[in-house]
Amino acid sequence: MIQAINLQKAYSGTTVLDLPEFKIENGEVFGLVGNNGAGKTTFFSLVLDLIRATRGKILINEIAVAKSEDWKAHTGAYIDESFTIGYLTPDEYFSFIGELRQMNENDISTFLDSFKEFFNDEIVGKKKFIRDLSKGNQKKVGVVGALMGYPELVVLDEPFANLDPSSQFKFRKIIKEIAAERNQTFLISSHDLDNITDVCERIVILEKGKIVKDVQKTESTLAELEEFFTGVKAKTSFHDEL
Amino acid sequence: MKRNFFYFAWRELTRSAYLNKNMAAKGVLIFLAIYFSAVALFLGFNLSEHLAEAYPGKSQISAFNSLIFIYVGFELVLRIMAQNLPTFGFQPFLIIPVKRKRIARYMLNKSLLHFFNILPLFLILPFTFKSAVNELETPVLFAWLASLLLMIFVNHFLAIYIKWRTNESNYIFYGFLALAAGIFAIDYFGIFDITTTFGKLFDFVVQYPAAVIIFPLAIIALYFLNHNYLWSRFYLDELSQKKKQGTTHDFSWLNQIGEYGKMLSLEVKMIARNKRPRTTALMSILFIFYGLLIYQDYDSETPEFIFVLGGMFMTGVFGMMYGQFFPAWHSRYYPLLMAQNVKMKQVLQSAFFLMAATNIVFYLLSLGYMFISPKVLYIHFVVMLYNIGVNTFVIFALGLNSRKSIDLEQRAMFNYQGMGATQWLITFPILFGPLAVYGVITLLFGNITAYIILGVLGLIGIILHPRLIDYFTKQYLKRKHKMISAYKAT
Repeated sequence: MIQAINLQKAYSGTTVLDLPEFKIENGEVFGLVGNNGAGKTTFFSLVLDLIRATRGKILINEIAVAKSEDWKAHTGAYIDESFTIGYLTPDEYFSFIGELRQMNENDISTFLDSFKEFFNDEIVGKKKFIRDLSKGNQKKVGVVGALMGYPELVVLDEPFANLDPSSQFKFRKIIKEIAAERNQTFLISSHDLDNITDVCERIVILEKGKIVKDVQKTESTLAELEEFFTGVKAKTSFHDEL
Repeated sequence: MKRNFFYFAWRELTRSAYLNKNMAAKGVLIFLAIYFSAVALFLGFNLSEHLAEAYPGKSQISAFNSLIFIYVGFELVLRIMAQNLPTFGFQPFLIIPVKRKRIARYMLNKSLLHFFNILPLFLILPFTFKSAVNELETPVLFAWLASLLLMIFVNHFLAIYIKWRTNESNYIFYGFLALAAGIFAIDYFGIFDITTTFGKLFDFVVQYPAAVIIFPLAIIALYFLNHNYLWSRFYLDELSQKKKQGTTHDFSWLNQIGEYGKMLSLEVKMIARNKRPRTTALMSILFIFYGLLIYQDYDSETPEFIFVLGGMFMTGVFGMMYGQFFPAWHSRYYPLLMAQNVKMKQVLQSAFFLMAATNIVFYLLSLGYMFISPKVLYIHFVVMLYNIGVNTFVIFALGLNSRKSIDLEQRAMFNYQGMGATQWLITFPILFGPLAVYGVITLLFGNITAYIILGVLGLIGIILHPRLIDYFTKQYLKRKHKMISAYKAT
């Protein structure tokens, strides 16, 4: 699905991302973790051709993103608030995105119905502009917009940030369900280790632009991640030590 | 603590990103300030001659007094449109241990440092020392001058108060507009001569200098009105703009126009729902009256050039004002447009359509000027063709250098946020291009040839527009990364 070849991004001589050889398979739910400045958003922006790679390239379905606009038809994304349009109501935003994704009115309303619980009656049918919504509700609009039309690839940068606890749980469930049903590829980053290990099948830790860990999720992944970021080995039980 | 407040204000001024980054805009503001000051100064020195001409035999002072209302009214409207409310940046002070009254007072006092409060001096002082000194005795002169100077501050606080009230709800805003129009009408149709009556107030001061006391009283009253308004609403959600329910006319019929219809309806919503583009659009509608100004003296000897100029402005003004910031209007969500399933081509197509359509509409409206000369019919027409076929692409070409994001929710008048060298330069080829073409060809081959050439150039552009749009699509895609990062940074 996604392939990075000799990918490098540097700002005035400082390399902020360096991925010599990197692949994400079709249908993978891929999680990216790392501290601030690790290069997560840089990587996502490169995938979406929002910034220019200093060296190398990214291919989506074998097409270089910088060369053609065709990948847009099967990619949905939410990176930050610049992916929503402040002066539209959520309904208008959804129908704008939905129509761009070749959905008709019926498709759009069926699609939105499946998010009813997630929206908690605060989004659809309200005559409030997106810029006047709370941060959490803006995020909900943005991430659901990215899912519209079930694109093959969905890129979400910190989708859990700003969401309230129950919305975080609901959204985890949504991603897992969609990924299981439709074989979509997800690229997700998060600072919340618990959320990301719950949702993702493969987890990569970035540090200063380099991959330092690349694992398939197992039972112990969460503990390993915590250990990595705290620098302290997670408490093991007495029995394990024996 | 007071010293600290001014310390913040000074830092705010000297460290604002706007000041450092935008030297061009600052230059223009300074130029405007000097220009208006010079005009006022010139007027101030020549006022007595003009008054002597216009009101022969009448006392200069009372003639001057009778004109004050016009100035004050004009200034009040200008202030309401262009002056910032002093609430700017009060949030961080809310939770520090200072009395709110003190913050309110500080904010009001700070607002006095404004160019509008200095401008009238350039008019008043020369007149005072040239004419008034001859007519009035010293104590009376002082009282009269004081009343004028204090009037500036009455206007200042009145404008702020009205602006606060009108910001609060649209009804009050329209109410205020209606009131202003009503006052103008009453005065204009002579139902009640407010201008003279208002002038009598100052005559009264000349007669009884002690009456000058009413001005400080008015200022104190208005000051406390403002002060209480501020003080009683010292909450984030009350002082900053009200969050209204969106009025949602959805323009969905525009979707049917073509594959770029969705983009177009987004574009129209962007204009209708955001303060800055909306004001820009409204101002361009007002430009239709530009003809009344420049065609009023038309007779058979006036050069036809005037129609070319008028046509340029009246048909193309929206294209110019909107195109000046194309594509920065979409800067806040440019990444979305670049990553979503919108082709760059559709963005350009919808902008082209928008500019072409407004040109045609404004052309039809400008046909009203046929009562001045039927030539308007074809002169405006060829200019319109040129605007659509050539100038839109000039706008696209210059828009490639757009690097500054636009804050959609700010006022449009005297706002130089998002202005860079490009935005200033853009007006030159757009305005002077067709005028130069017209001028040169008229000199060489005569009027009619010039109109034909203008029209043909425009037609060529219109016929070739699909190819030109394809070309610009490529150019815009080439510069997309630069634009995204520049919009993020500003």
